[in-house]
This record gives sequence, C-alpha cells and structure tokens, in this order.
Amino acid sequence: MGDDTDLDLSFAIDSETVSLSPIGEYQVLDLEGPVVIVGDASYRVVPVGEESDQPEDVRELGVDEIRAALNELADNDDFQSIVDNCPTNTPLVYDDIDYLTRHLPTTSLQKCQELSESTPFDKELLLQVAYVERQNSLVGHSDNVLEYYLEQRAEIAEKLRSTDEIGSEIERSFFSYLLLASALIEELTTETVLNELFREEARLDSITEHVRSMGHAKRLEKLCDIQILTEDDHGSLVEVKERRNNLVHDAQKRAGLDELESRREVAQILEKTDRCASVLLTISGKNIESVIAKRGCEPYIEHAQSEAVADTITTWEQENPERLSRLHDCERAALEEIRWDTEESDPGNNITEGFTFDGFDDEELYEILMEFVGDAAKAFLDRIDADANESNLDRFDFAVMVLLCAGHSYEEIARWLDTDEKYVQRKENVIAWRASQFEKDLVEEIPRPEGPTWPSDTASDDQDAC
Amino acid sequence: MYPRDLLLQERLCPIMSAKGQLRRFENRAQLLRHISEETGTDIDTLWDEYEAQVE
Repeated sequence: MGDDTDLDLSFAIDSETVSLSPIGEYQVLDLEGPVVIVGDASYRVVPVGEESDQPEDVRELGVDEIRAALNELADNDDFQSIVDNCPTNTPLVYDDIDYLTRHLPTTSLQKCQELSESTPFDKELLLQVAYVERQNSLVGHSDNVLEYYLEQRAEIAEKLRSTDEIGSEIERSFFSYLLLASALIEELTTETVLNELFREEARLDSITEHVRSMGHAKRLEKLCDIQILTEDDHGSLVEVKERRNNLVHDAQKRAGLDELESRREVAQILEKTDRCASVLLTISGKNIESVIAKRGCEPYIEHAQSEAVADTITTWEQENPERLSRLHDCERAALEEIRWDTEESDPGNNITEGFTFDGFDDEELYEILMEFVGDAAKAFLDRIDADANESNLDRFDFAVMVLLCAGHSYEEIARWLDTDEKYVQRKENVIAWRASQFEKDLVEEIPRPEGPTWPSDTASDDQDAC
Repeated sequence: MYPRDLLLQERLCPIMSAKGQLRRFENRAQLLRHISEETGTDIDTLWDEYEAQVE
C-alpha cells in the first residue's frame, strides 16, 4: 500500500550519547605496573582505601604474567566458570583478593586452585584476571548487541524514509531489527533481575541458570512486581515479545509484517520498541550518565566537571599543546575553573564560570574554546561513568542517589529514570543504609527518608475517614 | 603440564602479590592522572610510555 506521509522518526536511545563499550581486544601495558587496556577503558590495581603507606612492592603484578594468562585462559571452561561467579564490583575498602576469596563459592575456589596447579599462574593472578574478565564482559556484552541494534535501527529508519511502499526489503530489515531489539531487551532484563533480586547471590552459576530458565515473560513480571518497571512499560515490553514471536513463528505474518500496512505504522512500532529498549538500558544502569549530568546535585556536578576539566587539560597538553596555550594566554580564561550549565544541551553556549565573554570577538580563539568545552563535556560523562562504576551502590542506585540529593521529587526522578515512583522511595531507604564514604564525599549529604508515603488513594481514604 | 606452559613458567617470575583494588578508568587522561598522583611519575613520561607500548 502506498504511503506518502512525511516520516519524522524520533528515538528514545540517542546513538550519539549512549555509552558504547563493545568488547575489545586486551592489551597489557607496563605503566608503573600492569595496566590492562580494553578499548578506551583500562584496568589497574590501586591501593586499598587510605592505606597508601603500604610498601611499594605490595601491589606488584607481573605484566608478562597477566598478558600470558589472558591469552592462555580465554578458552578454558574452568576459568570461565570462575569468571561467571565473580562479582561485578567490590567494596572500595577491601583488598580484592581478600574479598574475592570470601565471596566466591567453594567450588570456584577449588577450581582456581586446581587451575593454578595445572598452569603456570598463581591462584591470586587467576582471580584477578577473572575479575577483570567479569567486569569487562558485563560492560561489553550487551553493549556489543547495542551497537548492532543501533546499526540495524539506522538501516530500517533509512529504508522507511527513502521508500513509499512496504516491500520485502523493509520487511526483512524490520524483522532483523526486531530480533536484535528482543535480544538486547532480553539480555538487559536478565541482568536487571539478577542485580535486583539476587544481588550478591547472582555469583552462583545455579542462580544465573535459574534466572535464564525462568523465561522472558516471567522475568519481566518480576521486574514489574518489584516496581522497577512501571505497569505501562511492562505492557509495552510484553507487546514487543509477542510481536517478535508472531513474526518468528509465522512466515505469513512475517511477510506481511503482522498486518502493519503503512510506513507510519512501522515507524510507530519502531519508536515504541526503541523506547522499550531505552527503558531497559536505563534501569539496568547502563545509560544513566546523561540523566545524572543533567539533573545531578550541585556538589556532585561541581566534582565531576572539575575532574573532567582537569582530564581535558591533561589530554590537550599532549595532543593540542599550541591551542591549549592560546587559551591559557587569554586573560579572560581561567581554564581550570571552566564550568557550564548542564541542563542546556550545548555546553559551549552555556559557560557559567571560567571565561568572560564581554566584548569577545576573536573567532579563532572562540572556536578553540568551544572545542575545549566540547571535549570537557565528553570527559564529564566519562567521569560520571567512572564514579558510577566505583560506587558501592550499583549504577542505577547511584543515579537515584545523585538525583535525590538534588531535591527532585520522587515523581520527577521516576520519570527521568524510567521507573516507578515507589521504586525511588524504596531506594531512598536502601541508600540510607548502604551509601559509603565514597558516595558521602561526592554528594555531601545523603538523603534521609522522612515522613510516611501512602499511596494517594489510601491517603484520601484516610482523610475521608477522619 | 604442557611444554608450552613449562616454558612460560620458566620465563615468568612468580612476583604476583596483588594487594589492592582493581579500578576501571574510562579514558587515558583518567588513568594517567591517577598513576601520576599515585607514583609521582610525570604525566608527560607516562603519556610517552603509553604511546610507545600501545599497538
């Protein structure tokens, strides 16, 4: 059927800002000790807590050993089983090896010892490498699917825009898109169930197996039960699953795109499905940086912007020294003090500190400044990412905390973080228990749950009763 | 043990005594600033070493 509607597609996942960290090749460098580089990210063992007066050699790791272990263990099943049982984060105040040996189930520790006996690698090294692998696979795996998803989304969007009719090409492209969207959603759903329901016990293979065997519908139901997923979003996610199943199992429906007759209808399903994937990306904590950047509390934004500017100056000192010195030479600029209004989309046009624009007419210098602030804005998101990883709270709870500290209402936070208001209330209780010194230093004051929060209907009933 | 592993064992020094926290850094500046603060090594030197070693 012909359709000349002008298509203006609007997606919830912004491919420009979403954090993509596909699995990369490992490289092990020696920079005052071993550093494992994976893509843009890197891993390094740093001193525990305040104990910086430890002997210098206490954190010595063998660069060659790590390099060899990463190569040798990649396809080892026992090693993979240890990886699967590793946590994705460890508390900041504990030594990793001490923590991991207490955390892992006995069978994993036995496997580690046996592996150490049958390979040249110390058992501590095996644990450390397994922990890197675990962190990286968690960050990387669904991000790889996300990358394919975004490519496929761009393809179907382009096809829809450039044609008047729904032909077999669009049908094929849409089907591929739906399969990738379902894969991404299911993977993120599993991860969120494990994090929310089982937390530290997600370390057990049997728990992971249990969650995988539950089936997607049941997992979604659980997330709705605990109210991290709103009922509306739950309904939309069920629809995506049903649509996917219809197209997979019924060739006739697949050929006719399950009765989608116009480009507009396909576009609407595309947008709706993308919105579902976006919800899962947020509640799994994978796409929270931009919300924190825009809505975070003042002390945290000040910390993150200050670190981002310092990171950017470090990078420019190496990569753009001449242009940096032009900024340094400008009397109107105090580079270290540059800050910007995070609620506006363009940081360059919203510099609030560190530069005086009065009578500014040097266009070249202005362009350099805009580029510097643009880089600082990217480093700002990187810093939020790093803080969310380092926090003793999980990434989503970290986001809830930083927004609660800014004094936003439960309703606003729930809307921005694609969750239920009740979930935000409950997390305020959790944060009051679990926030460590790291979080307290970042936000200065942890929110305090005060006052009862009855559902609105019950509250009015109560008032009526009075 | 495989001959390859024996060779590896001979080549590698058993110096592993990891005490500390594994931290993830999101970009090069974050990493090198941290190492510089921790060890006192100049960032210029670290940057050059990074460039020289990375493939």
